[in-house]
Amino acid sequence: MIILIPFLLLSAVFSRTSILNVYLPETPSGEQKQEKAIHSPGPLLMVSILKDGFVINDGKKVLAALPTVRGQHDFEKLSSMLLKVKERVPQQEEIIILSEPEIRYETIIHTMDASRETSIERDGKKETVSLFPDVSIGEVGEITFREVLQKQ
Amino acid sequence: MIPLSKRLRRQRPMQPPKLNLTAMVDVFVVLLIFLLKSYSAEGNILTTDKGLELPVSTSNLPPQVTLTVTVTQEAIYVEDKKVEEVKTIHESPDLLIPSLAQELKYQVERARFIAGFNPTVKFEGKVTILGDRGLPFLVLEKVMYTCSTTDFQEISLAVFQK
Repeated sequence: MIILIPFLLLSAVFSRTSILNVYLPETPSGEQKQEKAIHSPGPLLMVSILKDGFVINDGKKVLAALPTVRGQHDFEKLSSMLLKVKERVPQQEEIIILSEPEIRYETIIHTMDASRETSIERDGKKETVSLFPDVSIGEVGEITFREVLQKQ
Repeated sequence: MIPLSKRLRRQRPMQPPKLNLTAMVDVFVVLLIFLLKSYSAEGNILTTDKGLELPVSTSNLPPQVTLTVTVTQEAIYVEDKKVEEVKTIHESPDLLIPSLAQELKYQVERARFIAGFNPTVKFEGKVTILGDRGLPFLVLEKVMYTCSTTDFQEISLAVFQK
């Protein structure tokens, strides 16, 4: 037992790793994006990560623009906005996350977390609600939402 | 009245204190059970370097045994083999990383070759990317694009569990 305990303590894993599945990134050219739009049953839902904030759009019009708060991306607001979208289209599972080239990897992962699931308070209890678990990643194309953000 | 030194000696004879073994064994048994429970027989599927800090996520999907592509702040590794510097990728205008594509093609060929002799092993085109949290999206996008052009269609991103 004296040998076993140090051995197990050494091999104990304190930081557990896990994985996030993503679908193929789309090429910046618009062709594949349109193909995707035909394939997906629900409406297209896109979150663009810009340096100055998030823009949520459904392929045709902008649903929301969330500027950064003191230089930080507002993940909580993003989750609450996506929750509203989810309530309108409950069967929708897919979301496309588009990012600017210089956005940090960590920010993208957090955006994926925010769009996959969120916890809401119902009757004083915290519940985890799945939003859009099928995440695709791509680069922000030619359409920029800078003006949309700046108007806010 | 007996002198103080004599009195002490009489009341407490000099003897080394005994260790209470029963209580210690109890503590150890609890510790042992806890450690045995948390011990996973599979071990670490994903090992991380010192220079690599994975991002933290709420995801709790268990990692699978796949080909790993590690992207640190300095270089890209396929399994443990260094294939390219991150700096050159950042500067190149192309989406495709030629050296990474070449290494991945070799890995695909090898996996298919093994699959040809051993029907229990199948080539599934799965790859796990271990990326440093500070990397720009551009580098990651190029890595993912290169993976997708070389028959690796299922991409997983490795993260630390919150």
